[in-house]
Amino acid sequence: MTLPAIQVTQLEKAFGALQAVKGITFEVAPGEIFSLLGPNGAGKSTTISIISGLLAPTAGEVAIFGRSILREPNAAKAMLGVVPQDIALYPDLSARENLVFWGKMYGLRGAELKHRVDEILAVIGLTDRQKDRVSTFSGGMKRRVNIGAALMHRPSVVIMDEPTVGIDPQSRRHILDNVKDLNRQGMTVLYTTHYMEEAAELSHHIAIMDEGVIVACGTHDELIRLVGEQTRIDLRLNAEAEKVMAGMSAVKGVSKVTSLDGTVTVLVDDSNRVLPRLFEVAAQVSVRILSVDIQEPNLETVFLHLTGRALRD
Amino acid sequence: MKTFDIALKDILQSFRSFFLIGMGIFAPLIITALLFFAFGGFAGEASDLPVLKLGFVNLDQPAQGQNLGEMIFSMFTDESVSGWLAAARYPDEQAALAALDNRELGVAVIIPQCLSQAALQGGQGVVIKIIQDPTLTVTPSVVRNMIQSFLDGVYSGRVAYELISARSASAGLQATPETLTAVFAALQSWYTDFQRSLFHSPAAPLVLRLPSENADPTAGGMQQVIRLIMVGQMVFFSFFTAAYAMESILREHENGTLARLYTTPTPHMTILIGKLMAVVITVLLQAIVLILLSTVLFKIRWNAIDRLAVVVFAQVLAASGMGVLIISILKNTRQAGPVIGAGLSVTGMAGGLFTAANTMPDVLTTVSKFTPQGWVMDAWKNYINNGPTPAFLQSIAIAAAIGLALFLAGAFISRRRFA
Ligand SMILES: Nc1ncnc2c1ncn2[C@@H]1O[C@H](COP(=O)(O)OP(=O)(O)O)[C@@H](O)[C@H]1O
Ligand SMILES: [Mg+2]
Repeated sequence: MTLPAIQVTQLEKAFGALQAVKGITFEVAPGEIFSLLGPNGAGKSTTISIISGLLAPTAGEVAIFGRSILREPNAAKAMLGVVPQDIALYPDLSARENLVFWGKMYGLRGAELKHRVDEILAVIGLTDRQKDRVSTFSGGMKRRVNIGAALMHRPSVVIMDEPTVGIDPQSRRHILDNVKDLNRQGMTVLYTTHYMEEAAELSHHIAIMDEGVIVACGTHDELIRLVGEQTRIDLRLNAEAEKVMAGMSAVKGVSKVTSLDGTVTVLVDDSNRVLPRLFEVAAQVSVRILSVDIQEPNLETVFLHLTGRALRD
Repeated sequence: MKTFDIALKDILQSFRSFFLIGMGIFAPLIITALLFFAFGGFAGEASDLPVLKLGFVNLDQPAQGQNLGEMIFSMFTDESVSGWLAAARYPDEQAALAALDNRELGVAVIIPQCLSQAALQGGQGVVIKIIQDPTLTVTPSVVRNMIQSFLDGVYSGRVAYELISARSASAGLQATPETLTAVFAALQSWYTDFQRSLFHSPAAPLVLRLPSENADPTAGGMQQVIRLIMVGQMVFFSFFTAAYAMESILREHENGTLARLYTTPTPHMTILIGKLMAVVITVLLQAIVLILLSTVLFKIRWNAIDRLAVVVFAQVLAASGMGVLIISILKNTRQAGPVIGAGLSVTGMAGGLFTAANTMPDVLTTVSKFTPQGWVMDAWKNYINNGPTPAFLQSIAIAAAIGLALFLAGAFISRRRFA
């Protein structure tokens, strides 16, 4: 049996009274892209920080290819390439100088280091600007250097914490393609995001996280099947949602009704059959439906189904 | 190895920071220059002696033998004095005085007709006139001094000669004017040698230099003042440099690079030691650069290299210690600016760094002993005044001990926080 790239067992982390991570367990297999998907405050960064050896857990254990991050931190860290959520580079140093420095911190030296810096500069598309200080770079360019620095030592496992937050679509595309490339080269990737599209596009396995617990874990299709491949219907009303919610819940084929800001969200098996019934319910209490939005099942629906809340608030 | 990489990275960043270079190098130099102006350091005569123009009128007419007036003239045209004295002949007193009035001359020397005769044969008193431009002070008096020395030599030589000739006459020998001139020729060449050694040799008892160039620390003067100002500023800003260099650990903590370093397989102690090393090296480099630049800009002579090295060592240790300790107890970079600024300004002034004097009022001296800067300054004063070795070593030991204590305390607190 091969060792898991990352094994997280009964992991807990408390910040004073706040229990940020509440005993989570999961495994990342070698060679896969594994996503932690969850809203802000779910505990993703805290989990990632413990796995990277930045934070000590309150309880539990993390092993990288069998090496405990607590007991053999340097052996475990040598196999990890951690991409911080915020840019963590030296702005007064050039792109090249930054890569050289971080390479040295991972133990690279001499010709090997120089060769690897050239390689990474090419991968992140900054060979031309390598002598410029990072402070002169655009946000997207900084992010690419930020990622490149974590890849200097060809880590077995790359950990990325929301690398696409707050950047332009082009850089975002670049990063997502990078992640897939790295994975194709054999690197295991642990990725966190609150964008379900990213998790869906990239991941072999996804763990959905909320309020410090993993509410579901599996492949994309497995997760969709959790909600029975239900379709999500968003209805905007001219009146309060409460007036229709009870009636709609009673309709056959409706599995869940929630509301947010005058919009009612209904999970159904077959929208073609259920939608006319929903209009009837509204008409009975003299409520007008102003717009209808139908979404085939996706991770958003899964999250809603499992937690009763939207992934993005 | 990684320790050096981290230190080097920090130093590189510091040297790319306009703020740190401006504060660490330019500020002390500029303030020293300003304070020096305020003390009148650059007022008065320029750094080189102005050339004194000397008009020479030789009316000496010896009956026979050597012309003493010519000997004196050759003294004034010797190459040993050519740097500051330019002598030219004038036919008579009127011509020389006219040139003096027109400010073509700084001093006129009139040799009377009977000088040789009077000097060689004794008898009536002679008067050599030395007339000077009243606005000049130093150089004409040197001319007078030279003539005086020469004549002293001549007269004492004659007395000696008369003594010898009286003895030799009693022994049946005859003193002739020829033998007498031979004696004076020898005397003149001795005097020229004496003058040469006087003006060229550093060991000469009288060295013609401006006060601000005075090499002798005990002689006081401008060199002394500017050295005190310079070391005061150097100490003052070395403490700032250390604190701002150490502040990088707070910056790294805030911008996430410290956390990122912790995700690499680098022991936390390695990271901390690298950063501490960067502080020490930065402050040391600052001291070296300031010493070199002040040599060029202010013509400060830093003698006794061994003692200099020891004082710089104490200064680097004290400044680094203070900087490391201050930063270790600060929460974030927002606190750092005002705390460093106020804290180091107050302790620096209390330490007597802005008092360019060797002796301060007792109260200030006492206050200064409560600051690390005061002890470093104490060591510097000992160095400048070339104080006795025990006192020098004592001030060094105290400054270094305080520095080490602060450094260890700061490193310990930082270790608990960051490592
Ligand atoms: N250093 C900390 N001190 C106190 N609370 C923290 C700290 N870091 C995170 N938290 C809290 O822990 C919870 C999880 O945060 P985080 O792991 O950052 O979530 P995510 O990355 O999923 O947005 C949040 O409520 C956050 O406020
Ligand atoms: Mg986060």
